[in-house]
Amino acid sequence: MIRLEQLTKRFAQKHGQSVTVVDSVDLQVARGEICVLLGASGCGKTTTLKMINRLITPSEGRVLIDGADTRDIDTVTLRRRIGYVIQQIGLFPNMTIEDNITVVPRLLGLDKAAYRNRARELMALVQMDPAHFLKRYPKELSGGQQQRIGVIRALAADPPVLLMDEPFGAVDPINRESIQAEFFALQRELNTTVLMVSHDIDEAIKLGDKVAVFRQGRIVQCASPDTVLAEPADDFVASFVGHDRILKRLLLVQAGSLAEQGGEPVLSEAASEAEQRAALGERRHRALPVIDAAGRAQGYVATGRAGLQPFRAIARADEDLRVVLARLYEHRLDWLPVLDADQRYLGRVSQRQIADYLGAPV
Amino acid sequence: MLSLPPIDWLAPKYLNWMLWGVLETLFLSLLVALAATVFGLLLAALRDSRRRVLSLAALAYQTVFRNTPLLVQLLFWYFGASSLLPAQAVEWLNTPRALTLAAGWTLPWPSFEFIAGLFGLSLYSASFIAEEIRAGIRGVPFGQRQAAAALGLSGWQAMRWVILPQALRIALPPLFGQYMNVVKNTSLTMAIGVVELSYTSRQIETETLKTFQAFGVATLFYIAIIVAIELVLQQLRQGRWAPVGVGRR
Repeated sequence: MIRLEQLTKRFAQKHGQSVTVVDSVDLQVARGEICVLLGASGCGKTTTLKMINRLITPSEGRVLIDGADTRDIDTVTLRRRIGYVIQQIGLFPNMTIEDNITVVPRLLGLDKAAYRNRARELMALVQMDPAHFLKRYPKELSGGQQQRIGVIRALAADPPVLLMDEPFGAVDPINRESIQAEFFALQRELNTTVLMVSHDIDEAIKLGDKVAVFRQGRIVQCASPDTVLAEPADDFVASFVGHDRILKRLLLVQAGSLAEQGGEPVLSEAASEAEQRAALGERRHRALPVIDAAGRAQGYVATGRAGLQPFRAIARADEDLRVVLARLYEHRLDWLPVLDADQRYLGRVSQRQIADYLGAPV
Repeated sequence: MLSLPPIDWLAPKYLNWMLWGVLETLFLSLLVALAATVFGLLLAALRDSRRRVLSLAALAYQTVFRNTPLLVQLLFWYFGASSLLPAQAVEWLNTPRALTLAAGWTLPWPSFEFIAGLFGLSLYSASFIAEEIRAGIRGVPFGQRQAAAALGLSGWQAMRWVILPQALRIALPPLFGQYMNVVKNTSLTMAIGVVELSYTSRQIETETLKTFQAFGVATLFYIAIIVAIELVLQQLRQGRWAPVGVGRR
């Protein structure tokens, strides 16, 4: 766990005036959580991050890591306990990938076999072949691969806390998505506490358990991404997260969780057509899915159309609502069946349900 | 019709003299390059020191040594400094002696001329080399320092393992330019009596009156040395000292 208490940074300017860059910031991040520090350039979020590993010395306030005041730990020891992923990746171009990852244990003269194994383990976790990459130099890797190595290097010493300064900013949008997803899985597996600076609201929504919105050195709102989107604390937060903030909430929910709330009846494949029609009732435009004995969706029957209709489109349980909504519009449908990985029917998600969710408070 | 006078080549004896001159030039250049690089690193560190006294002292040193003629500096060390030293020390320096190495090898103790030349050239070249090293260090992105610090490397470790290896790669071509200057500058030591390539060619010219041949051959030797240095540079840049981040395949 990490706690910032009244953390403040003032810089003296040339004319003798001082500028407060970070102003009495209080923040608490529980173990294993990702907290995204969100804000425009120059709002103090990077300064806040750098005060945690004392790349910048705080003017006032303190930082506690698992209850221990960081002022009582010497900076070198402190930094070895805190991973840091820098904005421009920050790999050392004069070292091979392996040397980059193992630089600290190597300089400390620790057990060679242990740290080399650790490097290989971590490489495998991000789907990079150690045999292929360890002896290469950073310039020989793509931006996305370099970024993965940057994250691995920061995690090599198994730090309880990881600081990230716009870690995925240098990666192209296509690779960014997959690296973010990969990082998220890695973080959940290692249970590392993460503080991440970002100015990308989508990234904050995707990765953050918690979002702290900064403005002029202060935290104006610190809450779950869904709360920030649904109930922004003030106009600044509202405009920062975007006027389409309601639509962004779509990213936070997966089709599966909405489908299970449906409770619409289903028809059995084994039933005769007459039975199915009876269950359908007399309501117009009504349609019900038909499933087999194993619970797999076969299609649907609808009033006014004879026989079993195949589904034109489906939603997978792990797809977010934005994808689902796009598909509904694409096929001009009112609802989609939601299926799990084994093609079993979980329920349906309709335009109406989505609208209700978006309009509802958190 | 214009007829060129026949070229009369130098006798083997003189070429032999000249070869000794080449060896002396090479030996002196090598020692100067080594000493000036070590001292230049120190000067660069002092210039970028947070202690104002140290950085100002280094700046003062560079101002003096970069802005006065090398010939004057050499004359100063040879004639000026020796007049400041106690008489016994000068006598000791001027006495020929040999250094006894292991296994019966002996090395002739260098002449006072050589020592003064080495000293003067090294001090002069270091002031230039320090600037090339500083430029190299400034060429390493700030993020590299931050990344090193954030990993928990001490200031010295960051310098030794992260900053300097990159800075020296950046500074390699200008550094080699300075080494070429060192070779050319050794010719000035003939003024204080160091028997290097220029000195011997002058001697041959005086003895044979074959001005064109004597200085022509000397020029060729100088060019050969410079080309050799250039080749070494190119070789280094293709191997371990490749520009930063380019891997060996």
